[in-house]
Amino acid sequence: MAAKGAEVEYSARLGTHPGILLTLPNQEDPVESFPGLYATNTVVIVTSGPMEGYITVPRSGYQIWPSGISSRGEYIGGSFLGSHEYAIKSYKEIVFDPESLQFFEAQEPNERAVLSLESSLRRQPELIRRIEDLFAAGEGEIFEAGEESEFSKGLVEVVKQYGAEAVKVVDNLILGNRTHPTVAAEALCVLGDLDDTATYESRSLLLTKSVGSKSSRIREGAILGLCHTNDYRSITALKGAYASEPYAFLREYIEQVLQILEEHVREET
Amino acid sequence: MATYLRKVEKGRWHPREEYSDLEEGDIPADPLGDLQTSRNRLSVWRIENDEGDEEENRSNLNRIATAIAATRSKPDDIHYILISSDTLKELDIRVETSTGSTPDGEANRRWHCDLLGLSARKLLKMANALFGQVYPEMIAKEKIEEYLRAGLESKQLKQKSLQLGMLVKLGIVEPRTCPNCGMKIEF
Repeated sequence: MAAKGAEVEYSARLGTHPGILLTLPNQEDPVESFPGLYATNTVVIVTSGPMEGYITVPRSGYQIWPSGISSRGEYIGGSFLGSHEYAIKSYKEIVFDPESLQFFEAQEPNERAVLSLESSLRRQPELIRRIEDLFAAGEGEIFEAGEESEFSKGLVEVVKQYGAEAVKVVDNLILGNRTHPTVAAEALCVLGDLDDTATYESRSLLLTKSVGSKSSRIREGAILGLCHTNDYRSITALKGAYASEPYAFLREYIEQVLQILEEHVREET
Repeated sequence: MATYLRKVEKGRWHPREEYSDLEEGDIPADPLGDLQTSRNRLSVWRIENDEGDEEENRSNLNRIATAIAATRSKPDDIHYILISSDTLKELDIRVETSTGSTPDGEANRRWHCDLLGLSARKLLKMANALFGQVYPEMIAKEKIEEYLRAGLESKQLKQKSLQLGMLVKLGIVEPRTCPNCGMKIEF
């Protein structure tokens, strides 16, 4: 398993240890071993260390962003929008093709990527159920800016209780298109606004990935969420989003958010 | 030409392409949620537009947004659409100045208006005319917080009219503490 990871060629800049890439079977066939990880759009990247940056699948233009990093830096679960034809036939089979993948923003070569997938990726079924129920109930709520909703209260509570694991489950729901865009957008705003240092990185990553969503409502939620995180590192992603954003009103939102983030950077320096 | 601001919720005025199940000529129902009337009137705010002076355009926009934000229980982004007087004229909708009910007394008196005589048919006609023609604009929470603090400092906003939760979030007042257990009370 590890040897293949070492064969991957990538352009190295930031981060460490990109590892073995796995994807799961199609979405209609959730993998029991990894509850909550549904397959079509889900990629699992196993690494021996923490990783920053992202992976692209050439010819598809899809970006796979790491979205969950264990406390030991053992793995990253990522999602991408699009078909899974580039990836795997089975979740137990390593099928990445070194020529079909490029790792960007990686600092050092992957020396070894060995992991027990089952132990590190197994989710807590009750956590998944709780979050899925929360999102399902959210579809019946009317969200109003400036007011707490049952959904937002529930989401804040579960993220504070379960940390990055909860954000990972939310990530799978949103990027796997398994929730209504309105609820997804609300979740992204709430996550951006959350005052919780422990999940800052995972929330920021989810928001950054979501600005590339196909749904304009999800993109809107991600743009607003990024503004609330005050994370200047998202400036690059937002500039990229601006360039590809088809709707003028969302480009105007991005401009405003960029202005706020850049002001924040100036104040810091 | 006068322009009228109507506060909306995010995600409701997104383009037609976002709705795969929409029949030709129809509009989604969500925007109607932002056109909720009371006594057949719809509350809007007149935006100052002095065409002779670009600088004066929308000169009261931030103040109105701040007044609306001040009615909430916590700072948040403000989303709004702008409706031109021409559109209202075409739809035969009259406008009347009325007093708003935000913590900004001057804004309430000077710029708050009602669209009058709205029937269900007229409202739907208006939604039809607006959808796809106007898009939401936004003032981010970070700016709103700044405006709210400035508004309180200049006394343009009556502090006692703001909700306690909002004042706590703005750091104007300390959160209440439970006299028995000493825990801070959430808002």
